[in-house]
Amino acid sequence: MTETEVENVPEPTTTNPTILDKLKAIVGQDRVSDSELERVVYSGDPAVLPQYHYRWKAKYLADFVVRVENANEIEEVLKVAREHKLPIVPRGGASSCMSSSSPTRGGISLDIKPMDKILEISKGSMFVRVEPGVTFEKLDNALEKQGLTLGIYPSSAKSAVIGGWIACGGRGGIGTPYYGSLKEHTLSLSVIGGNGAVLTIEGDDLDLFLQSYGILGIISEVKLKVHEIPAGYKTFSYGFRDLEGLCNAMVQVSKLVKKPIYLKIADEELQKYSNPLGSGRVVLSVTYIDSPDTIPAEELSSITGSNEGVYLGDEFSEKEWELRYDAEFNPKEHTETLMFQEIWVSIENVYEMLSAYESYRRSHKIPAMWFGMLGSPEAMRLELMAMIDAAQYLKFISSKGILHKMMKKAIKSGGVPYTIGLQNSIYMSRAYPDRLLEMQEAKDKWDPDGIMNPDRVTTCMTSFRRMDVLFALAAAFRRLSRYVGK
Amino acid sequence: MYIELKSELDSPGGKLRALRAYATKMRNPPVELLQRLYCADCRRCEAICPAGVPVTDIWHDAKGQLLKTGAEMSQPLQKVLDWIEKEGTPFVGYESEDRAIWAEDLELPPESNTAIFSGCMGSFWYPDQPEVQVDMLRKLKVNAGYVPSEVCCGLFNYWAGDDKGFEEVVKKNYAMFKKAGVDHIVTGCGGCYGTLAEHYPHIIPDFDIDILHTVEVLADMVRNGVLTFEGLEGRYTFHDSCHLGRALGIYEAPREIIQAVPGLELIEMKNNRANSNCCGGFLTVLDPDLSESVGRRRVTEAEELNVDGIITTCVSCYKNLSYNARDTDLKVMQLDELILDKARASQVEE
Repeated sequence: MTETEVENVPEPTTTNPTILDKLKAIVGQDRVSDSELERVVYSGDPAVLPQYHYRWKAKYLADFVVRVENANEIEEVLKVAREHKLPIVPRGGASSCMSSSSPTRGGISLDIKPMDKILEISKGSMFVRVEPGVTFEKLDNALEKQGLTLGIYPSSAKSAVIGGWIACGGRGGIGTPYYGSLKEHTLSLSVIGGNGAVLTIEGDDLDLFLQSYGILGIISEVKLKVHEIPAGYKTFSYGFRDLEGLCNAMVQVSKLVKKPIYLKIADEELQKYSNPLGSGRVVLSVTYIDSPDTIPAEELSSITGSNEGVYLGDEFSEKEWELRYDAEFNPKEHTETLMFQEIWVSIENVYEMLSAYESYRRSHKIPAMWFGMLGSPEAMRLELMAMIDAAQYLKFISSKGILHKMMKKAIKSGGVPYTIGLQNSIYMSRAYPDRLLEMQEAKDKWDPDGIMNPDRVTTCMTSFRRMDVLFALAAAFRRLSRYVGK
Repeated sequence: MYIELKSELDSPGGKLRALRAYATKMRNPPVELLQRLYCADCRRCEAICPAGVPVTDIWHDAKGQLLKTGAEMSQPLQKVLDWIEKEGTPFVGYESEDRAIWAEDLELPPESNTAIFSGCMGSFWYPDQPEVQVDMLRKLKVNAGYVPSEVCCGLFNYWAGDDKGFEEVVKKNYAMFKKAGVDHIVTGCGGCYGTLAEHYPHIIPDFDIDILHTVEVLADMVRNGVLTFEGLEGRYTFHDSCHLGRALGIYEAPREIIQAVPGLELIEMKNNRANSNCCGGFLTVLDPDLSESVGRRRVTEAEELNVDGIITTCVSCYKNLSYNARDTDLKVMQLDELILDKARASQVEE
């Protein structure tokens, strides 16, 4: 390998034969490992936060990797973890990019992906019962054979699994503006708490496990509502000369009675790497179920026309739909690090947020771009990105500083971080004060030993204050650097 | 491979995480890391990756680097590479003197500006394939030759990260072609085609030989009405070979040929063209059981369509798919075989 700086690498974990033997006895030799290579592979995700980042993690490598195939194995592994006070880091597709399934204190990386069976499809009662590791592709293929669809998908559907999306909340995704969020689709969850309790939960109790990031326990089975497959989809894309026109149109379209399956906004920079436009316009793409009853054709034409939007043609529009799982990831191909922050914000506040980000783009000269996906008729997941190289630490940290400022601004106006994971746990007390209390109480009940995915949601190794000072300094330095050395 | 083995060690994301860790903050990559980089070389992960990560190139470069810094090749793979060096083929047990048996009665000139590259599969296992190429080229009044001193194209060396061995093979073949006055090479093997067209120019900067695949030539004949077919009643699906499809972007030419056969109905599998699933053929070198599981998975996709059979352009795909379809009603057919059966007796305009 190339010769590079080697620092701060934790000492290899001393293998504890007792623990390893116990785990082997539960899942068999092939599905447990303490090899360094396997621990490296199972301790990271696509997060731009470097895996060795000590401010957030005390020990970034898991001590053991265990792949479970059924609920009994989960129960037994949790027993071993409680006995030895070992953290459990539940792991689905590890695609959230917010270090949701990265160890902070070593422990067991518990991979639930091998639990990928589709247990039951009921066309009569319109539900599907699955294990948590099932991929969206597998689920969709099975449902399609019966003329059914889940209807809602995360933008990371190519690598995510259903259990992971539930743990991350599943508020916004492709299909959610029309069919409703994952919460509205989840009929019941079978869970195994960190305390060993095995329960099937329904109704309001589901709230605890949705967006719980595995800090309470492990989801072992999911029952979801399904829909009939629509005949087809039709996408309409419009280019706008200015941000205000785009945001006005987006708000008005979102409020129409006929709801879209998918609504996306993006700046010219992001489009350049995804579906190039080359006209200096910002883009609104909106997809409906292809039927006269579901497409608000006249309203679309009137709203976009009054905001000086220009229809970008059928070919461009169809490609926007084809790229629905790819668009926000496409720029990654052209940069070392695609850093981003995701904010859940009301559609009325999107213009204010994007105007502020555009202003930072100019004042701090950050290589910025943005993307937004309507999650519900009222709220949008806004993804603010910067194309940088994480190896250039000052640029990295100052760009993160801008994103931090944007998050603070969002919280002030009622927005919240979309994904919590590890990094956004510092915002919990400000963005989700009630939820924080609720989760702290639930944590005491479900995981009194504190083994489940520690250091996120209810606690955090670093603090908001510390990060605030660091980011303020870095952002100021970035601004100063425009003048120094000229 | 991940779908079969269910370990992130065998997923592209997992391998990238490991490479990043060992290339930056950690020392002494374990021996196992190199072994994990050997995969089906099918490039499906690359095709579906929204971030466009060029994993095939990354795996290749990483393998080369790991080998240079002391990692060891697995014994079975080393044996294959040694055999290539000794006999010019990865098929252990086959000898170089048997390579040209298929051409013995065809009276092919050893020197010609157009040469057939029969590849190891065509030379040793499926001699019908180069024979049909000769036949078709003759219909086109192309007097193609065959240079019997050809050796393996080097695909295995390249895939294994054996840069030195690959360079030797490339130089050997190139010198042989130039000596025979070759400026066009026609091959029926997707793997050979990809290696010759994609990788040879990296070793020979002024590489000046045009590489053609049989399907391109035949599709052109179909388009021009030179090649017509007798009818074949039935519903068939087409399996895209990874080397011809994702690696080289040849998707439509074989379909044009198939659709020119009267009575033959082409039914596409859900995963077709760039989304095609691998047949697992290449994995036989690493793990025959894994190769079989991957092959069965692809055969099941075809079975669900209720078709009569699967047509493919690649001998390696043919071999693995026909083996895994042995207990089904599916007939697995090479495109060359179809042409051989149906075009020879048809009205080829001489």
